[in-house]
Amino acid sequence: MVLSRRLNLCALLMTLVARAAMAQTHAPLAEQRDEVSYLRGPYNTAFYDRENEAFRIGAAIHFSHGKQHDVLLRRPFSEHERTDAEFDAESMDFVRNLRARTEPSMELYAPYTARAAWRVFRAIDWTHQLHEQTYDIMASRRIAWADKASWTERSLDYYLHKNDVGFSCAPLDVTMRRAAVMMKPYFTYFRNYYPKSNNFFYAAHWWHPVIYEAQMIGGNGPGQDEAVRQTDETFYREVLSQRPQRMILLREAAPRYSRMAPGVSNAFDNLHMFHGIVYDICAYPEWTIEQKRDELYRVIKAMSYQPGDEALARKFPLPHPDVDPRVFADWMKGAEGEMSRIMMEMHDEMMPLMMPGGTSMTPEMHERMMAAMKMKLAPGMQEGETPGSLHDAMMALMPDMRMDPASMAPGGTPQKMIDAMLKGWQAKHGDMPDAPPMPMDTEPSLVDVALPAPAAPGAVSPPAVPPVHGKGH
Amino acid sequence: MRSATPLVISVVVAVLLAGAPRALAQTDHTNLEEGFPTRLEDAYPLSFRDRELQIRFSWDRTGDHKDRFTLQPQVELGLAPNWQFTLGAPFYLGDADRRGSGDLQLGALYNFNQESLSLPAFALSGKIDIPTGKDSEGVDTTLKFIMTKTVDDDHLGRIHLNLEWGHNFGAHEDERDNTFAIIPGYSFRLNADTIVVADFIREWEMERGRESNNVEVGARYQLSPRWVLSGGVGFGIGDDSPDARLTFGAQWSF
Repeated sequence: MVLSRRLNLCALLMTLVARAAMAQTHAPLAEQRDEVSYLRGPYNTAFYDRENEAFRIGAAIHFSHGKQHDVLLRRPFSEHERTDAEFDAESMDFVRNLRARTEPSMELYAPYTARAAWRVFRAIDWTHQLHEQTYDIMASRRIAWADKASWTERSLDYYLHKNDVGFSCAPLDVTMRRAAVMMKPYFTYFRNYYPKSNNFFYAAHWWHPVIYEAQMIGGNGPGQDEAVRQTDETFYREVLSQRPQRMILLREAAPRYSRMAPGVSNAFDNLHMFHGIVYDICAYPEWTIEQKRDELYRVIKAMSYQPGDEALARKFPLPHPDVDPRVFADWMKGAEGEMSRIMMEMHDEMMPLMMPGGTSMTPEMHERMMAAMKMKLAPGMQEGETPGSLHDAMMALMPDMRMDPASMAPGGTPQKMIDAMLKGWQAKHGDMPDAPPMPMDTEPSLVDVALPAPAAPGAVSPPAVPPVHGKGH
Repeated sequence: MRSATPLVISVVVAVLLAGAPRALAQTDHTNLEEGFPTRLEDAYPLSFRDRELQIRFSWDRTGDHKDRFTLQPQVELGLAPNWQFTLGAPFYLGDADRRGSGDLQLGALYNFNQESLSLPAFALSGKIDIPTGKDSEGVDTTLKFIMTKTVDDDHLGRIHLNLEWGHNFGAHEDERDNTFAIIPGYSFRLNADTIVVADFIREWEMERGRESNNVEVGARYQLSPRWVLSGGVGFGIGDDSPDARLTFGAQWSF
């Protein structure tokens, strides 16, 4: 009886506190934390043990990923230039000096966002966990080369099915169409108004794929250590100082790995694009935090795994199948690539829906639209560029463009656009041949691959970190 | 009965280890655990499917100037979403009262919610002490209400409140039937790998008529993806309070 009365008292107390909180906000009363630990296997922590410097670069990048949310949400948009410069300096300090020794959860440096939109961090942390798993599998000497694919597949299966926030294993071409963010009023805000920070993440999203590729060309032996080390050197020497102008996809920079593990490759492209979309939404100054959460949760749902996505996993091209991950090639540096191709296709697919009075676009208007779009998709603001989002730039060119206010609103789903774009993808690429599997029967040797180019002038020095030797993984 | 406790724990730990791969997993220094290094606990549980071995060693200088050394091994398991289960036992040495040494302890914590911008995180935890240890009689129960609220976003600064009610079903003549403790505290991020935690404990203890006040401070350090180390000190305020306490702990996610 006494116990029962005490329990009732506790329940009453919590209900009263909850109601008091409800009176202050219209936000959902409470989300469950719902964290899931990661999959156990003989490879766990192999990357940390064997490639510790690379592990710490990844941890530093994830520090920046986490803190960027709070920086954008808590600092006024009007100070974007100063905020951008200061946060870029902080990110560079973290990555140069490897200040994170272990993987930081998103909440560690962004507690405000964790409280405002917890599901966003559940999705990101869960996928960072997949990064750890898959780097570990490649780094582990206990996993034979011929077994890398099956262990990776096991890890992907756990990722997709043991938590409800896993990103899809379908290619970004499909998930971007499902998300339909291009005409939302926030799209391109982050890249246009925070270009230094944006390009830091473009460099980071060069690093993630090429590390997989370095593992792929290095094999299980010492060649892997050498390939990862040389790739890290390229990151410090060239990539951080001449950052890519676009988000590089795994199929571009990690074609061998993408052939071996297409679903994992797509999940990471989806995560990396999701980072950019989240930052756009966080940076957008016109919505309240509750409206931003509505839109963030809509995007998570749209980009998440759907049953049957496995059948689409190999539907992507391989534009640079023989890439050397240790070399920062010219094609990696510019704005043109797979990402811009996907965007241009989506633009052409949705424009007929938005043409005033059902008219067709003249070739001249199409050219002007494409020019405006390329400008908005490039980081920073260029001379003659319309302020605001891609949507603002297109409306400036075609003021009577048809827009559905409900689907443009926070959390609104532009279903007609989605249908049109998915139909467009099906027509263009539905019959494309699958990306071929990667033969894993012969372990590669780094000796067969040419060495990277010498250092470029103006390079960023790599940090002085004592080597950490493997521990028998 | 008494000698069965270490055996039970050893068997459970051995079974868990045998069933697990050699693999190790990441743990979380932000997740405050009772005794690691202070008594303060936060409202968040171990992740679902996670498992940890934890061991704590502490030295207490009691209010009547005696020494108690405590070794407490325990296993913590995330067996269901937002739930945390604990199995362990404290073992006491020294010239202080050693009643309860070797009692088997079973615990569970349920987290109701992730903290939002306005609503703190809440949890309830319960613990049962089974009298398998020295001079123990009757089952003791503990119910704890836990609240966690972030107040400093720049440093992950969080206030915590633990309200603890214990019931002693087989009280000796010199013991209370019910004990209470109020534990407010604060934690913050010192750097990427270190969380600092401090608390104040106001407690109506098991010994009839004894009320104590303690201040504790300590740190939790993420040594590697699988290890968290913790250490702390505590001091009593007033005649009934312990003079001092030192605690060291290690958590290993496996």
